[in-house]
Amino acid sequence: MAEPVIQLRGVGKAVPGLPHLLSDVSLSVERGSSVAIMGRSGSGKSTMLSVLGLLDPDFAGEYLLNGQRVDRLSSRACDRLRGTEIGFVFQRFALFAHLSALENVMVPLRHRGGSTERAMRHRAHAALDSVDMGHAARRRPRHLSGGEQQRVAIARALINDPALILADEPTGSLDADTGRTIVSLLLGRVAEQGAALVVVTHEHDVAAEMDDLLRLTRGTLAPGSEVPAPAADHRPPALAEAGA
Amino acid sequence: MNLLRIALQSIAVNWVRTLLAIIALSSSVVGVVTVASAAATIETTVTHRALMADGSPSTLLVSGLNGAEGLTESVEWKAQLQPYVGGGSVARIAQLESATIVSEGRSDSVDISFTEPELTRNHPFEVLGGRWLGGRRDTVAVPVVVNRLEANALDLRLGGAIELRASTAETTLQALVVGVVEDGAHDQRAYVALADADAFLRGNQAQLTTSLEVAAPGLATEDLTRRLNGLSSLRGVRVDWAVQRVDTVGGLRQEVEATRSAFLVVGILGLVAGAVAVANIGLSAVRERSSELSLRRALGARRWHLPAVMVLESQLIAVVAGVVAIAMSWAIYPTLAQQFGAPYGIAAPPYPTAVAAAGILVGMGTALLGGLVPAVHSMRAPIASIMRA
Repeated sequence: MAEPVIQLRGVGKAVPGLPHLLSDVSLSVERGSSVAIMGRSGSGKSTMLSVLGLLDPDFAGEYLLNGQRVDRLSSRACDRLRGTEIGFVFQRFALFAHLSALENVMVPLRHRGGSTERAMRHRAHAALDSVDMGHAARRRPRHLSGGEQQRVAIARALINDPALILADEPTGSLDADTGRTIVSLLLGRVAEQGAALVVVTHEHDVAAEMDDLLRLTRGTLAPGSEVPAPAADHRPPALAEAGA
Repeated sequence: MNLLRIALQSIAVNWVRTLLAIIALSSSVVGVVTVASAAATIETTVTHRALMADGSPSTLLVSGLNGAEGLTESVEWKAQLQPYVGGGSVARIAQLESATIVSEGRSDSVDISFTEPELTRNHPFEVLGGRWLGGRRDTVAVPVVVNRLEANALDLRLGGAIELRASTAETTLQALVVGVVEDGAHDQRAYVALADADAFLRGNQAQLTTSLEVAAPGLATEDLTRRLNGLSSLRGVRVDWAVQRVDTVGGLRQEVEATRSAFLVVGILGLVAGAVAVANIGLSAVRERSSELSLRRALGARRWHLPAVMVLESQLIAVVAGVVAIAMSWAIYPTLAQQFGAPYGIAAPPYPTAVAAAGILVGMGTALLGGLVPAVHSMRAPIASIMRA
């Protein structure tokens, strides 16, 4: 069995005066596998991604990333892990408008440091080539289509060879055909790099492409479209392995 | 290096903000450099003028030698005082109650000092044309040096023949204008070599008074008075001499110091305004760039990267603003120097490069102060908000 990249055990997140944003969430995602999380607005999807992405350190429960407990790490350690082990893909691409495609892909490398300018450029060119965007390295986002921008964003997410890719509605701003291409590309690149992929999406077509499908309802994670059940043998591997 | 690159990219893209910050900062620095330049010009001008007109610090005037006998006696007094002042100077100055210069039918009442060439040891006159007293005489005419005001009053030219007359007109003196000087005086003056005018002065002895200007570092009125009381080789001429301090450099410097302090306050206020402007622009930028900062954190930026980039940006802007400020202050300096130095006709001091260099450092310090607030603010960028953007 492949080693889990992420393992959540009894993760909860509460804000005083509000219903639980996350409640007793357990999840396991292995290297090379993908999970789709679906849910309505306000169901806790963004909170889930924030926790998984080490953007929000204030939660209860255990979180293991590559076998390492990260739920008690310092802010500095979280920053370091986020830069090396996690890649983000956003719905609206979140590219820097003033930077070229190449420079956008280089951003994580610049913040990571430790490489020469030449090495960073070489690596960024290779990343762009891997998503068929090598021809547009010098173009700025406004001169790229939505699909092209998302390809650049994927290259940026993968530039540091992360163990975990978190994609927030990666096809939400794209037409159906382009969306399918992007999902295919994302899955292909993730499989090639041996990373784990967690995709938050509203689209069933996208979710169907993933290895597992989970549903988040009022902060509670459950398989597929089912309501949470304490002991369900038909649970997807992602939940069963995490002991949910 | 990577953070510097990020800062440069950010400065380039937010050019309006960058431009506003540069304008705010360079205005502050120009203000400081201008104020410092003006203060330096005023101090130089005032000091120079005081030196020319009233002599170097510790200049005392011994007066009270009257008539022809007083003129003769002054030679003895000078001889006895010279060893006392050591490396200082003693210059005799004879004056007539009233005298007139006549040139081409026009005449002007003027204050004439019949003195010795070494007077300039204590009064660094600016020679505007010709030469100062002393040196070889080319003609039988007595060489005369006039100040700028007198040259203008009678439209005197170098080499022009003039006539000196005492009010009693007992004798006259044919003279030649050999030099024009700026002596810092507010009235028309002329200087004649004392040795060349002996007969003329003795011919008008009823109006004649002779003084000795004594200058030496640290010389005090009481010391000189005591020394004069001890003079033993006088020829029995009774004189009612008096000693008075005539230098004004010290007092004027104190007055200028007050002006400089006032200027400094204005400069500091300008800097504070610049820092506030930079801080305000920076804070607006932090709010505006909130999502960018959060995204950078998501992409691996350490917590300290964000304030570091903000500070780098402010310092890069400060360097550009400093260069702009130096260029501007250098361009306006001649006008400034003329404004503050022209009334005395004294050459302005050179552009204060040290002040300008300090201006860049001050600008960087101001930008740092102004940039710290947004930098600290940037550390609080809500990182998780990127997932809700």
